[in-house]
Amino acid sequence: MMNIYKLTLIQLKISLGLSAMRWNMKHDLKKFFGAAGIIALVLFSLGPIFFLYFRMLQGTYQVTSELGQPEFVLAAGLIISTFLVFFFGLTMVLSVFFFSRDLSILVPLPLEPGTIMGSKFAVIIAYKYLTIAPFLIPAILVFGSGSGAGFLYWVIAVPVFLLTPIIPLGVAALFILLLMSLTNLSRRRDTLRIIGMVLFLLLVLTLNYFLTGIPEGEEMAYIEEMLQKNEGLLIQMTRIFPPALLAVRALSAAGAAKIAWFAYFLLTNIAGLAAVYLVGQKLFYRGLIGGAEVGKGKTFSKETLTKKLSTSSSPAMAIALREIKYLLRTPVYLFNSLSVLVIVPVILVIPLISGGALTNSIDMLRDEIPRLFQVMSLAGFMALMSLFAPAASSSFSREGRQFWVSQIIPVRAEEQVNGKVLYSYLISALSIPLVILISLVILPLEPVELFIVVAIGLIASLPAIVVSLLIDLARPYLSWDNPQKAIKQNINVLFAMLAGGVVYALIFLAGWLAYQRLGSDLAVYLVVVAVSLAVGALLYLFLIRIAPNRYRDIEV
Amino acid sequence: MIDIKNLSKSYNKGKVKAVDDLNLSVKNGEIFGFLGPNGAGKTTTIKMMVGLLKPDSGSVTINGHSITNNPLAVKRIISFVPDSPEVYEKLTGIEYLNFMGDVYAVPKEVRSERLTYLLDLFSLRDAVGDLIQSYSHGMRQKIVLVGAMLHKPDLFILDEPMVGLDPRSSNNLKNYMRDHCKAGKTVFFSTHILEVAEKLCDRIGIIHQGRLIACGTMEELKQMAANRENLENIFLELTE
Repeated sequence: MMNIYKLTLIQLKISLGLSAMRWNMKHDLKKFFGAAGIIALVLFSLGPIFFLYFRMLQGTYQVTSELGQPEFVLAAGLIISTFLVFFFGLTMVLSVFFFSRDLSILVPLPLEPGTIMGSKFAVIIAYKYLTIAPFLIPAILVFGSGSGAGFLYWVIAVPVFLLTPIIPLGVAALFILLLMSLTNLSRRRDTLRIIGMVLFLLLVLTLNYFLTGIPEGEEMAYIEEMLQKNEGLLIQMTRIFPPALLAVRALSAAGAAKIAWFAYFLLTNIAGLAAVYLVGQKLFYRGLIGGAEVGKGKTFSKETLTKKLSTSSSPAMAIALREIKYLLRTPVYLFNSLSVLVIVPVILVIPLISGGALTNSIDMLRDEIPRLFQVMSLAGFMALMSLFAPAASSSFSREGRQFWVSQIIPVRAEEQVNGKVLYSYLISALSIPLVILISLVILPLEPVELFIVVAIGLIASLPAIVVSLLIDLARPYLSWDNPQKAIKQNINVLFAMLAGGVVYALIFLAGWLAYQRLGSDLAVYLVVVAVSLAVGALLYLFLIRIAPNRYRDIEV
Repeated sequence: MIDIKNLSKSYNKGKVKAVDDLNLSVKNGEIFGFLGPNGAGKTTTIKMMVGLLKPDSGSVTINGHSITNNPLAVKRIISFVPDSPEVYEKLTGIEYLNFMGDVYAVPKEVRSERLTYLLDLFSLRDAVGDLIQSYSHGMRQKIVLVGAMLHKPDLFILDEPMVGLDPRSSNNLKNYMRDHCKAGKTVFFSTHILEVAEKLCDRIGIIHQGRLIACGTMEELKQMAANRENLENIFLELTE
């Protein structure tokens, strides 16, 4: 136990950069305040969004209080937090448990596998507090202040917050441990792991749909009952994750019942932790040892060698190909960049197969919403997919310590950037089949309309791609010690989304003005295309301008 | 070939001078050995020579081109092998070499001929189809070396190239360096293996605390020290 504690402290110091922060505070104030400034900037940028969320929770609290179910707010905060921890936890567990650079130092030490894995689990939990804080703390505050909660509520709220990520992350960890140990000996293990993770997510989403779905044909009666029945909303919502029900009751019950519910919640979490530790003790090394080994390929004869030699049409193409190969061979990158392309269609298709209220809503959408909005929404969806896929916003960071190669090769920085634009566009283009699927299943479009969607979607992707590359090039995060950090714990990805959001707000505004003033569909299309191209081109020119100096000045 | 003038680089706001007013020239066709204790400034100097670090002041000129003002012209004629072979793990050996061939614009026919020779020289032919992830430290070092040799650079810059190489590969590399220089090209490398430097180099520079404290042929270095028996004694005396 002592070892886990000590190892966790060391891991936290490394992972959260605590030692580096303390050193900078003493020796390099510029760096220290730079880091502090970035944290402040993140909080400031996200501030308005969370203010809106807070107000929304307050409104929800008012409404649900009138229905006699005020604890719904707590349940919502807990379920959102649980989902985020689970969804983002899957790749983080994979990366931190199995692909951290320090594993080659830790494994030979006289430590139990459960100890090493336990300390890594604790580090991920620490990160998850940062993820859930903006969602769970406001819910706790709104319920506490709204219900005039007493001292005990606030005391119990602290451990409830601290325990919340344990079970969802535990489930993710158990699955990853099982997946890694089962696939470790396979030659195609990376592919199998990606397939396994996507299938698991789909299973969870399907389960969620059927557990929390509303029975077809009795929608109104069901909703009425849910609203009127004591704790109806709460039970409906926590059906997918029952421990949340224990947490809500630990916070909302009165007197001794509060303590009892909290004790149940605590015991559930202890059981979860014990399960992760015991399974980890058995499976961690089984999934890890030998994981970096690669099957022996065939010896190349002179003829084969000549055949295997290929030349790219340009250095930019060589760079784009290198990026694609890296994406395809790094499960963490592949899952983060592409899983959404698999999950979205399933989310769309499940309700359609099972029928129900959503089908009616889609029919209404199809008939009531003007065609222009349908086309522009789909094009907007494509553009947003380009913004949210971290292909561009982590492009330089992903090179990590190998960035020196890009710095010494005789390829102009501008050309290297072009390779990255090309690669990012290829990733964006993957949403085209998705749009075609949507147009087949939900919104039947004419071929011309589909063409307009794809054309506008791709053109409007340019500003997102370029602004993302610009942000990552300005301050690439190259010193990561596991690939997850390059993509998910990279602040540039968040900044790129925020900056891209501002750019898209501008483009939307221009399109909206064109719609109001000119009233024709064609005018809106042209204005959106023109503004996207203009903004994209300006940002691109700026990117190209700063690239040579950045390639020269960045120190790996 | 190499002309370094008043080169300086410091860290911690000038508190630590990694390279301090360094002046150095290397002629065409020379093998130049760059020696110094740990932390003397060898890697910092080399990184500034290849454009991986920006000097605080001074200049590095290679074949008449400044690395600061005309980096591309320099990069086309040099090759660099770093001390730790951080290389694209998720590419196979041949994919990495193809990538290097593409960026240095080596035609396919030339590539085929050179790779056949170099892969055999470093016994990598069996491994070139595997992911670099599966390579040992020495094999990674060798694949980086092959990638760097592919375009026959005018100037070959290596930081501790022998570390991790097996004796045969190490010997092959030394022979390659000699042949490279016989063809009129230049090699600049840092090393801690004094015996290699003594036997291989036309001239040797010794850097200590960021300053070049000695530079010349073995004979010239011997004149600078009281104990002239071998390079090890000279090195120990000068860097005391």
